[in-house]
Amino acid sequence: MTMVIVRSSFYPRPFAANPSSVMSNHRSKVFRDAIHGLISIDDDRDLLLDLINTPEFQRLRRVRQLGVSSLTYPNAEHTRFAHSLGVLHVAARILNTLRRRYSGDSTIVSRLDGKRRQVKVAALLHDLGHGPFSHAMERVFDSGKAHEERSQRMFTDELSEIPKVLKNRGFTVTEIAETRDLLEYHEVPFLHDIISSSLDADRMDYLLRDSHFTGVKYGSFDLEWVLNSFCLGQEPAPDVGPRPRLCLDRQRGQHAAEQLIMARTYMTMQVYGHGITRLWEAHLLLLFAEATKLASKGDLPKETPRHVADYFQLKGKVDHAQFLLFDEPSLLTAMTLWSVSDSSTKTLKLLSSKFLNRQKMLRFREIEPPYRSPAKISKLRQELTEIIGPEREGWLLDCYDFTAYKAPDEALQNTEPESYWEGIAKNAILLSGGDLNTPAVPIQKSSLLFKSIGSERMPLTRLFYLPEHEAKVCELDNEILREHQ
Amino acid sequence: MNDSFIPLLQFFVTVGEVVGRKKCQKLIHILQECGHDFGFDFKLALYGAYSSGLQARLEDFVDNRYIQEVPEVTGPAGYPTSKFVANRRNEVILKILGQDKEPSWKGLAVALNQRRTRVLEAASTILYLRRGGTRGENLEQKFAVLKPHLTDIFDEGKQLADELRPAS
Repeated sequence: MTMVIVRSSFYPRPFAANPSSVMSNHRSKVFRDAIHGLISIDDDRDLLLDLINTPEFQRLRRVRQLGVSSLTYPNAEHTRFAHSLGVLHVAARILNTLRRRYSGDSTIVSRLDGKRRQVKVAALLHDLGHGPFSHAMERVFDSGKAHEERSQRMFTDELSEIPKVLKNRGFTVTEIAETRDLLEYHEVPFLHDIISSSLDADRMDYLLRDSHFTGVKYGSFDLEWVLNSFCLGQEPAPDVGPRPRLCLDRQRGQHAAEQLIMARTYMTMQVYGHGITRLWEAHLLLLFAEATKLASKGDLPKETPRHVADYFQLKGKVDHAQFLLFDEPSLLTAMTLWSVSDSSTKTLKLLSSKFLNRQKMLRFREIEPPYRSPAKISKLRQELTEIIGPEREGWLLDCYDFTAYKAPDEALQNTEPESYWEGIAKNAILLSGGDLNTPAVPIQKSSLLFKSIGSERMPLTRLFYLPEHEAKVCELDNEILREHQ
Repeated sequence: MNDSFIPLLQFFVTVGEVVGRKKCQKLIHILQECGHDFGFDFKLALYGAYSSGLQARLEDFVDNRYIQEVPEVTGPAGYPTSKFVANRRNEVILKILGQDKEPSWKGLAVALNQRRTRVLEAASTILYLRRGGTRGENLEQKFAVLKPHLTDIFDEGKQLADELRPAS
């Protein structure tokens, strides 16, 4: 009784009695983040927290952003969970920048406000479908778009928690489908640009995050200035009607964009295409190919976790519940068991053990430029199949082709204008004065740097193989295969 | 192992010539939608389904002279474009690689190549939207917003998309 009296005298009654005042004392939900400082979930808090708390999103804690890169860069252990929060944060900041800049334009404000929740949800959930070891797993079954399709299915799959949360938080069926489609396209193109384009929130976050955690400092760029430079402009293609696109301010954004594209180039050369990382990815591919072959005959070691065996047996086409279980700890556990199991094949045992202990065993050779033509690569692939056996069974050709900035050649504008504008629409960074009535300009028109690196391709073709095939590889013309020292 | 080089080379040997990169994009996308895998990922872009990977492959094919690019002007409208003509040596390459058997999609590819590019663009867009679950009135509405320059041929594109279904 005494306690009640003390409390009521401590808190003035009008304040305590007013529910709205109590609500105004709501603490923000914040995540401490190594890249962005504090990621605050204020707007749409309940919706976003409910989504973050789903098993689908929590699974991303168990999938690392860079797959096997930690074997090259020891600190590259960051997860797709942290990256997805970062993408949400950047997307929200892009929306805020545009909202401020166009606060006097009721049409744009209404589009931004009307679709704000959908853009943020799409940004948060864009990576849900990633399998363990990210892109390596997709190469196992040659299913390049598998993670994108899986991410999209999670918006509608009856077994997924995602549509349930969205419905509970007021999304209609149409809005859910529209949010899913934002990952691929949108009738209002600049909203899709925030999720997927040369200036998207995904790229902004992963470059900074990957740069930070690998320690590759020149993979960084001035995010604050890029964000400060965002504006809208009109689609530059002449015959598709007025379509607002996400652009950088012509006066402010060019140098920041140049830095962004150089960051991407350096990260690709130093991190994503790093020879040793590709070697470990090749190692995993050979290991997973062996597991798939054994699973198809029901010959995986009996200790293999059931959901891992199912995944290989069904070549990745597992149902939602099975997919939620399939993560990096599961695969590492399976490899640990395979490395000691008496019922493992020699190859499965050796590849598992070597991977777990980071003992390099694959040899590799680079294919010289004159022998990189598609026909010669196909012929080489056939010859290797003849002398060693099917690809992935002890060897593989890794063709990695990177272009810093994929805008089309300017000459194409005169010979095939529609193809030129298609390439611009899909790949170019656009500059604009922020005026929606004037066509935006692709950055290579005014940037010497973009002009010079525009279409330069950086192909790398490497042959990875198990040491026991050394003699057979040597049978091939040495001019074709340059031994890597 | 997925090797997009061989099916694309077979495609050019099969059709002989194609007018424009855009038409190549739509033809390959439609063939893929009909179940013939060329190994390219497509996204919806300005003029229907578009693959950056295929675009890069086409440049590669021109650079390596598997196809010859010949400047051309389209019919009455007089738009500049390019005609891709398959090099005769492609047949030799396919023979060396043991891939000179007639592909199962030959008839379909040749028939589609006779159609106007705009109709292929409409059909390709419709197939793409259907794959995402868009149907009925919603399909027509979405098409009109995404492809205002093609609304006059929606029915023709839809008819082609409907005819293609049995092929898949």
